[in-house]
Amino acid sequence: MNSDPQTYSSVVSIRNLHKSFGSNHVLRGFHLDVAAGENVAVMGKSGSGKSVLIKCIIGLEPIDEGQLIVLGKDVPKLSVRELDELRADVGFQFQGSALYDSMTVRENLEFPLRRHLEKIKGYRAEDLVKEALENVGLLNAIDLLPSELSGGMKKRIALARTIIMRPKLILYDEPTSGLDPITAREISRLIVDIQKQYQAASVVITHDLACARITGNRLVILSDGKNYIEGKYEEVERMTDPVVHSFFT
Amino acid sequence: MEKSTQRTARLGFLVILGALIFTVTAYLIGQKQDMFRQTFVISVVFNNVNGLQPGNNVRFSGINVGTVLSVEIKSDSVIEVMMRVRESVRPFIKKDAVASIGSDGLMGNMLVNISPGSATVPPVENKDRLRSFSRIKTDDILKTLNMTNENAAMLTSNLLEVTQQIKHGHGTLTYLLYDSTMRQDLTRSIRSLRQAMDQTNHLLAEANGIVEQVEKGKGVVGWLLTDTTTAVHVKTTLANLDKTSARITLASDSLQEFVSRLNHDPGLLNALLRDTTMRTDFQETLRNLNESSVKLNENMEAMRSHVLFRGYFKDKEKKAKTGQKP
Amino acid sequence: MLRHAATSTLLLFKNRLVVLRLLRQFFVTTGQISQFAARYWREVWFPPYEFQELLKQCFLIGNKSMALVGTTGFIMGIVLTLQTRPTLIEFGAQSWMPAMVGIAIVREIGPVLTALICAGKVGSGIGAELASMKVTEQIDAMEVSGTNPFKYLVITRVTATTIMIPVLVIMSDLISLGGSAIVENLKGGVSFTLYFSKVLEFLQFGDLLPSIIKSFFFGFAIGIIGCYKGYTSSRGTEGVGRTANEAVVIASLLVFVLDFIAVLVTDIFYEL
Repeated sequence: MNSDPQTYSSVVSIRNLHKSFGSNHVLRGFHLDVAAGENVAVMGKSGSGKSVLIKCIIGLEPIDEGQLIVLGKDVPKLSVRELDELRADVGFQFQGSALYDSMTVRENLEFPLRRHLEKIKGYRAEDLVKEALENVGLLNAIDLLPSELSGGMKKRIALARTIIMRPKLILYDEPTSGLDPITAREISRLIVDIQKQYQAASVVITHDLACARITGNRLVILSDGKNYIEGKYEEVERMTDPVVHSFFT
Repeated sequence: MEKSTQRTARLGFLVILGALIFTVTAYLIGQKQDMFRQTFVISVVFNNVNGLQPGNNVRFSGINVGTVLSVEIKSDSVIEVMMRVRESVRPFIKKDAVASIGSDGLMGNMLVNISPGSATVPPVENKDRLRSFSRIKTDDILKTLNMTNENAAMLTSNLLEVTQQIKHGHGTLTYLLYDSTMRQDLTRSIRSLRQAMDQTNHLLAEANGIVEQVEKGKGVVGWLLTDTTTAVHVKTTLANLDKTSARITLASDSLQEFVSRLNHDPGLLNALLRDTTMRTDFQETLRNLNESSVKLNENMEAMRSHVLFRGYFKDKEKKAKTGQKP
Repeated sequence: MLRHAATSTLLLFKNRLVVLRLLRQFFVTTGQISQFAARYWREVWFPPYEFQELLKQCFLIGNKSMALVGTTGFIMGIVLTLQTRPTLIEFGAQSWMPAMVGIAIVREIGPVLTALICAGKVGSGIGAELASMKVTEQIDAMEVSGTNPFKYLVITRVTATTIMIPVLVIMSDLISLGGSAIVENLKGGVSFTLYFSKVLEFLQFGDLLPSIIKSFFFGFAIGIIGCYKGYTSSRGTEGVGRTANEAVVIASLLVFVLDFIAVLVTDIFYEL
């Protein structure tokens, strides 16, 4: 694949992004750059358009206006086939895990492989599945159905399903929502481990401070459809701006 | 957003509209099958159509060839039936074809049957009128009576022939005239037979009238209960009928006597034997006479078992019993 | 007085608005279903073909509905025979029983009954399954993992119902006739051989073919409605139940409408 990190400066480059649903103008001029191997945590109130943002990045939602370049490709202009190729390099972790109910864990993990056989040339699907499961520490759950898993296990399996394609960019939608603080911390650490192991850049959408602190090299606060503040977690935490401050109290 | 919804709504409207038009068209085509086919119209007049309706099938020698277009009353006993028939069968329906009303199976719809007609006659043309054939609906009793009548008529004509021949004294028949006993016998039997015939005819007319009234359906039981005059009428009719049958038996008895006498008298027999025509005539006459009396008896039995007349016969039996006692 | 008149006029106006909105909603839904069906026909021809999933769906649909369809068909055959027997005997036409039951079942009862049951069982199942997949973002997950969910979920399911409903109809027809034959055998002493040879004697290809063709349409309608309702389901778990319910209602209604049209169209060909 030609999507070598050296050929573009940043993995994600968003300029002046606008997106609205009917009369609800969710994103109004959002900017974001994600460097290769960097973890960016995006925080915002619920309904502020965080989820919409990453769905735009992967092309699940069409954008109204602006520039959106992912892995050197102009997302709004891609054909269906090109979009599929791009998506093979971008992982997406859904808020509710989105495991396929009717399939076992193994089948869930094999599912993304079926359409991207060229990516796994030289590997056996079985080995890839086992490797991914080992990386999230759930190899023994390989033949279980999603309904037999706990919330935290589902998140891990979903993560395994995301990393099995060895993506260059991983988008996390509320990775710790609905989990107890201890499990949430485990998941956050896992995200950091994966970042190191796969050298992948990530965008983590969250409203969980702990998660943002652990996973994010950089923190972006999304408010009124714009990136209100950007900076390292510690810098942002010390700011006295009332909007920023409301997140940390 | 709003614009695309509008477009979707319009698409939905068009789809519904299209489906409706399709449905209506399919219905219309299904209804008017003959619309797309060359057809012609012929008519026929009946006095009773037995519930035939527009849309019923028209059959030609058992094949469905068209439908009834209209059933119209032209006058109290004339009903005109218009039929639309496929053009392709026109050459086979001749001008003298006969139409009749039938029904499709035991419980089926009414239909018009057209029978072909003779091959030499030219085929029908548009707006032609076919001849009709109506089945005469007759009661079983009436049918048997009619047959009896026919038999009796044949009998009299045979006898007439015989007497004619006797009168004119053709050939060996003159021998017969010398035998005065026999002549008397013959005359007597003929007379009684004539009488019997007259009465049977009279009776037949009366019975016909009664059956007609029953058929008109005045409510059979009600009619028997309320209309005493008619009841009396029926009783007398039946009594007469009884008498007639007795008379015919008598007549046939006397003829039998005559024949047996012929058998015993060699002279007479010889004379008769020479004239074979007359012998066969006589034998036939005798057979007919026997048959007719048997028929009449059958008739009586039929009537006896008939619901309407059962009461009368019971009465009669009772009377006969009481009459015997004292 | 004047005020009363004014409010009643206003009420009337409001009511008319409600009617208009409902009518508009009806047209919008019809339009969306048409677009959905059109998308099916546009995409069904092109690869990737999900044969494995199609086979799985065919098996699931057939397997799930077989017992139900068979039981109802069997009972229908028995009941129909028991109910019509006295009347036919009155006319001395018992020997027409195989013809009557055969034609009633093959032409009408078999296809419509099976379609209605499948609308209830399969249609609601598909609707609920897709709706819950939609709600839990599984459809999105499929899309981001490079599988066209429309092809993987919708085309396989609609094709599966289109193939399987006619199969179920034929099975239901046979079982119904079997039920009817059992009644005739027990009550009228008619042998099974005689019964079925009588049925075959009266049934023509012209009876079977239209009913099979319309079964394909029933199957397509059930599949497309279930998928449409599930695929476009609104978010939220309570939407899943509502979706299943709506899928059954619309699919059942559509089955009757299609049946009506099919009978009208068949009528044309019968006369020819």
